[in-house]
Amino acid sequence: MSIDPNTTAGFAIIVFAMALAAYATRISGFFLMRFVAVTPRVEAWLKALPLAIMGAILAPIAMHGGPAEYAGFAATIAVFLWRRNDIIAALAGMAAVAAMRALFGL
Amino acid sequence: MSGHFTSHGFRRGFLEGIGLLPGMVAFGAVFGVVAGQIGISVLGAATMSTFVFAGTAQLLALHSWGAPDLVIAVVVAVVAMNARYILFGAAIQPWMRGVSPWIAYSSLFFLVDPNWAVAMRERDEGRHDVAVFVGMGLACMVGWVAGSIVGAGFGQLLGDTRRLGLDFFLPAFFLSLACGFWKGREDILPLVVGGFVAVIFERFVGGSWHVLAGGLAGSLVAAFRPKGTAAA
Repeated sequence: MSIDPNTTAGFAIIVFAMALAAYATRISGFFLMRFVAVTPRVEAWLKALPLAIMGAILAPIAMHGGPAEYAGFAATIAVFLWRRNDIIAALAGMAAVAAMRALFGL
Repeated sequence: MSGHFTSHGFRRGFLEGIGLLPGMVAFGAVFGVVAGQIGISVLGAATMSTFVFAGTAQLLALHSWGAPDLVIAVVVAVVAMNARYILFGAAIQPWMRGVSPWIAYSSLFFLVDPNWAVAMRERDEGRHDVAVFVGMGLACMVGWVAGSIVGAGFGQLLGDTRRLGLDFFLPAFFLSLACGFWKGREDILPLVVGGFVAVIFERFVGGSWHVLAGGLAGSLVAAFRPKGTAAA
């Protein structure tokens, strides 16, 4: 079945399918965990999950990054250690990247 | 302490989420510009951003806009990009225990990266107010939809958003959250294994499966490390 996203009905069907798929990813892990007993092993797994995911998000970005991105990472860590605030640190990282790109055309 | 849902928590989450608005609006604008370029109206972009509410997934879906089997293509795009939310939902489930299924499943509609990370921080601090998660998610949605509208409506006027470093906001936010999660040497293992597996997957598999693969690998290795070296 071919759907034309340029018609209102076609666009609505596409958005509906996307919304269902997105919601399914949001609830499926939660739903499945109802059948898992939280043993110490499972607890250790859930505890380690955030850092493993952050490593998985950041490592490819670091791999593709250049001096601007490394300066951004350094500024983020430095400002986080100084202020202990997630958002201020992220804004500082963003500003460092923008400055490096503006100054050196990176 | 079990999960609960208070108006005070909602306010606290929403206010913390306001700090994320510049980044969310900027990211939404990037999506809106791309959507406008392929002929999606302002209303269409806003509708998609409200109900799908997934930045990278929406961008990838637009990428396959000309595909013959468009429904399948966009569903694959959304599942691939959002696969990490399956893990996020699993991690958040014990934290939400105690609230009714109705509240839990409605709250999960607002699951995005920043409010999940904040829920994990709340968990580590021994707080279980699910409304914090929803408040922050709603703030993110406001910024995301507003940005989508601005991008689709005025896209051409913004110029190059990369010049402003806007693409770096989300990575930087994740890095500062990771710094906050850092407790000591035992955290090196999940971080490094997760990063290493992600780099391999990103190179050879594509999509955004690397987040799912790295997250699973890093956390499982940490959970199954020999007793004695695993610190709580």
